[in-house]
Amino acid sequence: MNHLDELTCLLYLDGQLGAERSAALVAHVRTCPDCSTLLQVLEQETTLLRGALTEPEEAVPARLLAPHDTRTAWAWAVSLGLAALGVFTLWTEFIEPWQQQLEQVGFGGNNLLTMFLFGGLFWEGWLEMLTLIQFLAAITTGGLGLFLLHRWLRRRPHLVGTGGALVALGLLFTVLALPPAVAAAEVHKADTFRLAKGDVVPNDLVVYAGSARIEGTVEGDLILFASQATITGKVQGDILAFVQTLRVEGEVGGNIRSFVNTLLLDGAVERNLTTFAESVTMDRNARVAGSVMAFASNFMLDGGQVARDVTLFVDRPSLNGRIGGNLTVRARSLSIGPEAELLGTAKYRGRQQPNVSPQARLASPLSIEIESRLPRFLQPKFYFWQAVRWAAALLLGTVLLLLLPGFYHDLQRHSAQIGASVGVGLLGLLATPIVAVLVCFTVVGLALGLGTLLLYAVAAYAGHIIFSAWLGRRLLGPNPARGALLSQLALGLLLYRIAANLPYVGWLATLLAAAWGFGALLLALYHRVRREPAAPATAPAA
Amino acid sequence: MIEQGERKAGMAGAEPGELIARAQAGDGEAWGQLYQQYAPAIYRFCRRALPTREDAEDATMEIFLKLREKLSQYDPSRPFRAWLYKVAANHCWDVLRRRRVRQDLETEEADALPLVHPAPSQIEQLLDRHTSLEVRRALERLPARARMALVLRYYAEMSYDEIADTLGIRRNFVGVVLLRARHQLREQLEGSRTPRELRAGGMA
Repeated sequence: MNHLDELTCLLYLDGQLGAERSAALVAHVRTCPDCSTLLQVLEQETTLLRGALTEPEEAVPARLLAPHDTRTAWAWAVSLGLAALGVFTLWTEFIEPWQQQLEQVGFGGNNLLTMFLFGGLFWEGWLEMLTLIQFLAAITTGGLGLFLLHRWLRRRPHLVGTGGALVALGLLFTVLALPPAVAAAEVHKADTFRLAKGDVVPNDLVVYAGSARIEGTVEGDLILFASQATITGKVQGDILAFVQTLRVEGEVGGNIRSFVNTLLLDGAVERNLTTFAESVTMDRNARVAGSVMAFASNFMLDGGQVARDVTLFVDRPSLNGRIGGNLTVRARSLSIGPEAELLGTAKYRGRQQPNVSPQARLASPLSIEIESRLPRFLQPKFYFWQAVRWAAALLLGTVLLLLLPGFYHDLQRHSAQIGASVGVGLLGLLATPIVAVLVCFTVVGLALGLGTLLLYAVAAYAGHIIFSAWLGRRLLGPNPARGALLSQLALGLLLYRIAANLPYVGWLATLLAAAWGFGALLLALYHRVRREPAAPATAPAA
Repeated sequence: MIEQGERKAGMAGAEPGELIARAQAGDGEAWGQLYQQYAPAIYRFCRRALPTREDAEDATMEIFLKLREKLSQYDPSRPFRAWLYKVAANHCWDVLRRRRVRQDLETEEADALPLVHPAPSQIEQLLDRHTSLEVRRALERLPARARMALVLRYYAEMSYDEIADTLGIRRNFVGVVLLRARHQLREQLEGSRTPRELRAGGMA
């Protein structure tokens, strides 16, 4: 036998040589002093290494030895309580009123998603009354639902893809969103689409086009994705429009729900008009038999008429037409022209005194509430709401920490990768809505896209909490005890609140924190998803 | 022989089967006791595997959070300490890999260098001259994989299979990695004779 090499000796010492080779080695070592020395030296080295590594020369940091509060029962009590509140809130504040309202306007309750998305806008005071605790409770309900779903899937390995939960969620939304009628829809994709006069579409019509003209008749609903669209014909069902400039001069048998830049209505709508727009004009021939709700920067009722209520969240509305129901306006200013005729009550809340023409005919006096012009820092209400927001965020953070401590830590760890988090976060904040909207363009994806947008809103809200948790930890130092984690979170959120309300740079702080936390969330999710199917060990990146 | 040897590595005591069972059933107090019992060993493991004290502290906390989440997956028929170290090793290796993407390249370069076979007497002299403190300092300057391999083998007393699994290398290659790590360690102990490119991998 030749002299032994170092590797063989090492393998022998580590017990990695087979019995045969070991025996041969031992036999050789007996006769060869050189190899015997090598073996001894390596063993000596092993001893030195083992000693150096295991010697407890340094005390274990005290904070690691701090006793752990590990009871989780109250965590579940808190989250279940919140969840119950969430379900109750969802039911009493959202679902029930919507259902009633929708039934009143003859909207069948068969399409739940439509109810969720569009019905929500009818809940009066949606914008200002959205108390964060309720919002939070709703989120917790959803989160708990997902968590339980995830656990349920985990116990059924045959059902688990990595995205099992997501797929299930997608399916849920899809099922909710598919009204029976979707089965009978005509879909057209073209640069220019024209439904000529006299042509009749007996089903729903879905159009993706640069510019679209509807001169004929659509007997079902019309769903429009276009840059320009003009409707001079007749749509017997609803119009759902994502259009830059939409002109409606014809007749609409159902509702108009539109997300547009400019909406020009100069025709008849048999039910309601709901719109998110830059500018809305209702011209002389405009007639809405139901109610109008608009979120816009300009709203002009120029001689048209609305049979029922008008609710406006508009910068500067100008009303010069007939309104059969009640008028509710939240705006900066309001002007009511000489041809205006209001048959119901009229409420205005805004910064400036409204300008009401003396010729205008109002059935009841306009109730006016002028918002205080005090800088918001001097209003006690401001501090109250800041405190509520702080508490709400702290509560959500606490629930997150208690339910998913490991994930919470993952989030903090990924937050520490500042560049990656902020970069990914900004990208995600920008790209997610775009992708979601693009997904909406495929009809099947509509529900999925809208669902994504909902989750996106929640994640963007959670962003600042994640960031604050990291910030607090950064300031107070790492400490695993639950109380310490909570005080870290509380401090982080407090500083965030202050930063977000700074004049001039507050928006930047808000954006940065949202992006940062959102990015950490995406990174953490990505790592989770990627790691899950693999064995405990992961191979080095190729 | 040594393979069968003491998997002690700073952890004394019998397998706390009852505590584990209680903790698995959701008993927070039992988990607290497990933590108290094993946190020091895991911390020292991290301290050896990761560059700084702060990293080790953070990692220890994170590892225990992971352990707690995964506790339900622990198979009581396997040694608990081995399982702890496996989770800890995966975590630390993840941390290191995430920080140094270039590491793989560097180790590949190092792998390509031929091993010099020193005379046993030279090694002996080297070992005699150095204290365990100096060995620790030298360890800190090793490339991540070399150091990790040594820590896994001689602190956590992992088998070659476990090391291969953790580092994502072939099992046959584990011996080579360990031997090369020893060579790099000797070079560090000798001081300035280290080739620069090898030292570049050290965690600063």
